[in-house]
Amino acid sequence: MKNLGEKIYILDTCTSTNDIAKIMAEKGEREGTVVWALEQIRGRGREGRKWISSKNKGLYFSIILRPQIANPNLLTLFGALSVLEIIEENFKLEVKLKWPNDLIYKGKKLGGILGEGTYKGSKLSHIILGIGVNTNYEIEDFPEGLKEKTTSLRIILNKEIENQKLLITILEKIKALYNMDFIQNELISHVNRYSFLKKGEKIKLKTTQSLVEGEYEGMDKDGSLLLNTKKGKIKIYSGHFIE
Amino acid sequence: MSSKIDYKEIEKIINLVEERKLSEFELEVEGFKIKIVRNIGSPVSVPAQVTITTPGKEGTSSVSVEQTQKASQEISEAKENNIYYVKAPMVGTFYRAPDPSSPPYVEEGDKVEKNQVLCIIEAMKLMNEIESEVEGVVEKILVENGQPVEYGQKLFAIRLSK
Repeated sequence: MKNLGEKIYILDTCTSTNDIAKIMAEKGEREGTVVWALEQIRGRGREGRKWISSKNKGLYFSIILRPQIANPNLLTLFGALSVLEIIEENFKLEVKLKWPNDLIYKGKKLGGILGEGTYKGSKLSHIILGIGVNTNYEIEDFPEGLKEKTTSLRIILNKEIENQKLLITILEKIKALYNMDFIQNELISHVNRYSFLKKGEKIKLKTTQSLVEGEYEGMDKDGSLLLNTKKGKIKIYSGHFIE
Repeated sequence: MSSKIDYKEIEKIINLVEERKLSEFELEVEGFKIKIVRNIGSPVSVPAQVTITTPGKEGTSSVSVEQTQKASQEISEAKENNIYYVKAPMVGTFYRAPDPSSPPYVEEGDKVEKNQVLCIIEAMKLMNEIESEVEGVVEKILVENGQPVEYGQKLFAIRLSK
């Protein structure tokens, strides 16, 4: 994707960068265009939960992708890997990926990825890859109840983070790794290295249908979570962890 | 030799490549080049990527055609009884609404337009909106909200507009 980041739309504020990028993609905006917002008033997290996005306190951006790949659902994990590698290289921090989209530092949430795809029938039109990283939040900025669960680069490193610089380095990383062969065949082995869950760890997951318990086996090649349960090995495509 | 080649002939070549399970096929005749690449080792069925190039005076014009046996089956199915089945393009969880507090995208009996969102299938936190390719009326919704779906599973039966 040669033209990644060639066009970056910078918005003072918006509902969510995914919303804007999605509208642009629908109107034919090409792959690689980025929407970056200093603030989101309706940033989204898991299950439609609100993702707090105060002005300049975090890095919030979305990329328009039109991947020609057998399994486009790997793109969330791809986005996560790109951010994890940059944080490791630039700040020497060991951030983990809690499957499939939470970036975790010492048990606290540092960022997340939210992908949104659009299919015309069975054919993929585009994917919006939304990335959020807590950069400059102070502990007081987080509401009660989130203080113990959330962190930021500023809190960890005790210094101001330049959002623009971080954005550019992440985009460069994505550009370097955005190769369909790599994503289809090698991504998972790289992502597994950053796994928050350890092999054999006992986990509980709530899916829309039931509660699943078992031992964590790893991530499968298709990005799903492999779990050893009493009934045998199963693959999980969606669900959330229960502590 | 004439460089004229029509859609039927391209289709014949594609079918041949599918039948023989060839991974790659390339044909070049005067003024015409066709290259077909199939991804065989993939866990999900991938449409054959077809690139046709016709060199002209102004340079090279190129078009992409996508063709799968599945797609052609779907079309013939639709023709037979006027019902079009929207199928899951992936494994994941099926949602009828964008979030738990919103009403469903569509109900049985609703009219749907082309490009109207019908549902979401989620996998690995990628929320995939599935848009209708056809215009018609939702005859039957075949999957319950929150259910896991398999690749190719029928989700909606849509009675096509005449």
